[in-house]
Amino acid sequence: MMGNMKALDGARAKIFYAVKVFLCMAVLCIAGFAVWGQIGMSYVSAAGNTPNFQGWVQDDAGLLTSEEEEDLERECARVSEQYNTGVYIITTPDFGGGDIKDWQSRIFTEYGLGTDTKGSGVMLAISMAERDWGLVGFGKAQEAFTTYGRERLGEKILSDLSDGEFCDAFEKYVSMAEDYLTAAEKGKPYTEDHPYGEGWRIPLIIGVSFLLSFGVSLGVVLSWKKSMNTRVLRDGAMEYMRADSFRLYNQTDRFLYHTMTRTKRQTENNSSSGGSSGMHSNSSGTSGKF
Amino acid sequence: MDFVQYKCPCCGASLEFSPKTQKLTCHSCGNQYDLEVMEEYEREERLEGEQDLEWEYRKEAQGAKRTEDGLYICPSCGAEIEADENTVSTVCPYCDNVVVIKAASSGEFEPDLMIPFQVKGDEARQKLLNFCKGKRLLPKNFRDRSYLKNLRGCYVPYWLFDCKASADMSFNATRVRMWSDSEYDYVDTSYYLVSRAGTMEFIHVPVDGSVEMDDSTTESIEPFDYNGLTNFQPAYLAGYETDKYDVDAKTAEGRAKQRLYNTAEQVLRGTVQGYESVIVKRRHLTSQNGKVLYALLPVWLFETVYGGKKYQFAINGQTGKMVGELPVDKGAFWKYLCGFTAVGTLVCSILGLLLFGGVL
Repeated sequence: MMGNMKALDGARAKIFYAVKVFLCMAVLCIAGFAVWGQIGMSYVSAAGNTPNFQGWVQDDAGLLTSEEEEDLERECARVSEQYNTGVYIITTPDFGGGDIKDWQSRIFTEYGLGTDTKGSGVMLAISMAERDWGLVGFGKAQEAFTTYGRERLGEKILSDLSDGEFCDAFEKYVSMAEDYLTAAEKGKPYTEDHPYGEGWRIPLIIGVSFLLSFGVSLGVVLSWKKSMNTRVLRDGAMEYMRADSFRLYNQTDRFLYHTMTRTKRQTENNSSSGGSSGMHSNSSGTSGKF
Repeated sequence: MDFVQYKCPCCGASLEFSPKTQKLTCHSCGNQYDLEVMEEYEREERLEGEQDLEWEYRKEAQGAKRTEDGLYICPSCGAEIEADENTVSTVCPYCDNVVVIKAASSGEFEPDLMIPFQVKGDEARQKLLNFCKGKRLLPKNFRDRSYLKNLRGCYVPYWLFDCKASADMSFNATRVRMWSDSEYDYVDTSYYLVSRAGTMEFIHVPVDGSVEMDDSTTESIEPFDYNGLTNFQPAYLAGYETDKYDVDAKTAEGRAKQRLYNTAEQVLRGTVQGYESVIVKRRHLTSQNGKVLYALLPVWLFETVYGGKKYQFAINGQTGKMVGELPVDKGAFWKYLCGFTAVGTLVCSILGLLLFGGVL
């Protein structure tokens, strides 16, 4: 009997020990997860604000009024559905430094953007801390948003961004994105050989050609006309002056006065603007300062 | 008591003598002037400018006079020849005989000198043809060469002016010095009064004595080689038309004076060196031993009227130098201008589109 009791006590102790170990491990796991999560959170916060992305427009920097945001949201949704390519806008007070294109790629992946469009999307990001902008194309959208296309779009919206006209810049971005997607759908995306919005070039080239040709033609025809008349009134009678007859008998040079003017020198203002292009796996982007 | 007042050459304000610097000082612009310099500057201001030159005339001709009603009898065929009061020699339209009207080439109208023709009619015609060659703007009716019959040899009356000239001129000249430091660009302009005087001798400066002849035509065919000058002999006139002068020497003096002044200025101006700008302030010329000769010089002439305008063409009958004005076909002018512009626009546009239009 005593032996049975001892055996029972030993089993209980083992069970109790096992439960203790399990509980300890559970606590450790929970603590571990908590610590890991904390580390993860601290990584995100070190990398910048992680937006709570909903819809197509995420204005964390508060650059848009609610009406403007709604209008843009509606327009982005329309274009995205029509061309099966997500058109996104994101603004943040500070993306955390580094390359804004990397941040955009991470946001795109983390929030599963473009899942409805088979990974095809384009994102314009604005970070106010260092006044960065970035434009990244993902998946199939890269065909529409070529390096030339991204830089051209950047040129078009840069002045609005610099002037703080963010809504105008975003509207332009959505409108141009639609143009780019339309051109890509037709198999002729905008490139240096197929420039965007430069229809003025043709009339300009023709106009300059006309003026140049007219100027040259007028010069030729007038020179012909001039050759029809070789008569000219003589200025003097130098050939009738007897050689060596000139004698100079007075030669004086008197200094009268002098004047001095002083003009402030123009100093050149240093100005800089820049942008960079980069390639990521299945994404390509352009960024710069505004 | 007379007041002596000097004006500042820089700003025009009155100058005052400064006992400290012993100079004339301008309180307006701050410039200071040596007394000697201001004396000369003031003297320069008072000197005479351009004036007429003195000439001695070999002829007492002060203007042509009408002596006849314009009708002459050809000594060869007896026909009446119409000629104006200036005609010295002409060709009878009935018998092609050369008629020299002695009354118009004698006395006051007898030339002192002349140069006989050296260039023949055929040579003159060939020169005219060569001149017309390749002229794309020449009217079509000029291409049939019928105009060549209008070419005629003429002795043109000229006045030849000889003198020894004494020129005295002054110039306003500036020298400019420029430099910079880190903040300013400086320009220092120094103003000078430059005087030059010299003598020079002119021989036979020609001025035409014919109203009909345009000055730009007669001056363009210059110079004549005066080694070919001979005394006047009516025999040289045979075969050529000759007009006696209808611009008298007094009237021609004006043009001679202009040319002499311009030449004297060029010569004296050439001695003013080392300045950034030189502007003539005063020109004065006096002539010594000035004399005027009357001469007939040979010229092949071609005249036509096109579009209501007279065109004159001349070849120096001694040296063959050819000048003139040919009429311009306005239709051809616009045709070439529009054609070249159209072709040029097309070619440039294609090239422009290929290079800058993103077509390639």
